[in-house]
Amino acid sequence: MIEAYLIHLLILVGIYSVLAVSLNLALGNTGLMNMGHIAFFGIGAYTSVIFTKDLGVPFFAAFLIAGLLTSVFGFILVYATRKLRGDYLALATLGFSFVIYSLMLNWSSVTRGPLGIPGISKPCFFGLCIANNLQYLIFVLIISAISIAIMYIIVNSSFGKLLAATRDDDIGLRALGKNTFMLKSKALMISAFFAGIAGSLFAHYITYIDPSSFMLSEVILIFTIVIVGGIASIKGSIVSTFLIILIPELLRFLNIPSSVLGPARQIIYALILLVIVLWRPKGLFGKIDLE
Amino acid sequence: MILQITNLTKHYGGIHALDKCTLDIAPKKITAIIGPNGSGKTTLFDAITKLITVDEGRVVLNGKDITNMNDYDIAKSGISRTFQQVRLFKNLTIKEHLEIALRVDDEKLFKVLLNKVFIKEKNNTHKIKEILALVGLDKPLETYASDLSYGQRKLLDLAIAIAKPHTILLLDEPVAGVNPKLRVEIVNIIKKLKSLGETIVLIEHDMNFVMGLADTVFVLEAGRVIANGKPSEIQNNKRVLEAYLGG
Ligand SMILES: Nc1ncnc2c1ncn2[C@@H]1O[C@H](COP(=O)(O)OP(=O)(O)OP(=O)(O)O)[C@@H](O)[C@H]1O
Ligand SMILES: [Mg+2]
Repeated sequence: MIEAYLIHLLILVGIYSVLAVSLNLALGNTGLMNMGHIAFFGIGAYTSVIFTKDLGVPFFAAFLIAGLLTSVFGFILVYATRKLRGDYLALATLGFSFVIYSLMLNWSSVTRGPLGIPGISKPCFFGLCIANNLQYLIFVLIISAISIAIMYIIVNSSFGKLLAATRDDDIGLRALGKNTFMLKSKALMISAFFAGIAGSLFAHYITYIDPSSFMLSEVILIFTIVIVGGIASIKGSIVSTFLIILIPELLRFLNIPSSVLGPARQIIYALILLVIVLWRPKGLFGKIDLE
Repeated sequence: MILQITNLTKHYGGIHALDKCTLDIAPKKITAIIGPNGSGKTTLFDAITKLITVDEGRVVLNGKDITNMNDYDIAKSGISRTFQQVRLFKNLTIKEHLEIALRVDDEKLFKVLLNKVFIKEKNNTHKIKEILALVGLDKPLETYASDLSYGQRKLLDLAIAIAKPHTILLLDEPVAGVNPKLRVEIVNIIKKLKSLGETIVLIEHDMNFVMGLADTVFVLEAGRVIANGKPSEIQNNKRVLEAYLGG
């Protein structure tokens, strides 16, 4: 019983760590205040489900399409907000996640609106299907490890140093002959790609999605993970995903009624975020702070 | 002439930051742009490097019209500049700054990744040390820009402008705010750069400073070139003295 529960939590940790590290790539490494990351997660989830369920595309293809299509949305978002910085960028990207949420809610012919999409199949590869959660956990861990390794290599490459430079001084970097708009586009497209495949992993695990999983309140969760772990720290984001996913689960052992559990969890996230911002603004492993 | 600037004009409301500003820069020489505060010196650099868009006028670099190019394309086509307020990347080290300046292919993600995985990345350390020795920045390569003093930041800013591939160097007040000792050192660096064949344009508001240094001086007032020539000619020019004394 407790074993099954632990496997469930570890699957979530695997999925959310990809989501957090990909947000950190945009927010921490590139300095893009993107509040629309949760929308990328949702686009990936819906894309993967619609392609497998409605169009009969095999899982792995749908999984990649989910990443690629989300990446296209990443480019659209960068392009639409290319004149904005700081708070205005944050507001505009918040608006983006609201638009995507409304689309999920109201484009019923495709998304089934608030009813959501049930009965999502577990991934199959060449006829072999994932049969239980332990297998799914292994699958998630493999994908997470590969995803995070790729992002690690990117941010530590000479390309990654350019992302850090555009975060620190965009004009200074342009004076060195670098096209910072293209750099930011690539960064957000990579970030969106991995959020999209995390969405696919999520949907095919939960087997039922509706717009509520991709609401604005969920933005707070992934921002909390990134900020608690530390801006631009991949290690921080992974450790923090464990903490933030697991801590609220302890509530369950306190016999709190489930009606209180949901709101209580949101309160805990907000409190952790507040404590970190006030007492340790660089987070657990961060070396830099955004001004 | 390596850089030809014709009739550059930029108005901010009623202020004529640049007013039909016309000047030519000769190769392998030190050209000084002087003028009182607010006379449009920085605006001239910003216009050349497309940090701002001018109302009218033309900029030609090595025979190529760059007036309508993007700022980063202008930088790529050979203009290196420093800023009056230094622009550095505070979370990057000295070494990382110079690597960014030296590299030209680092924006191409797939190429970078292939190089990282299959080939050893090009090692620039020797070149980096050479440039740091030239500007006399004697700090460990792993020092973060945020840990440097004001003077050291000025030197690092100069170093990355030199490291970036270029045919002309624009320096906006390279000695502003530095102590007298460092001032002398920076003058020597600029002389050294000239002897290496660099084309240098420097902005300075102190007329005496450029006297022993520049080959040619242009004097700006209210966005216009009011005089130009050898330093000795400028020194005794009546209009220049009036501009400086607020006559
Ligand atoms: N963005 C701007 N908006 C409005 N006015 C501006 C702007 N930039 C410059 N100016 C004005 O244009 C004029 C020229 O400014 P500029 O910075 O080029 O002078 P400068 O010669 O570099 O002066 P300093 O020696 O103080 O550096 C000044 O009157 C300045 O106030
Ligand atoms: Mg100035």
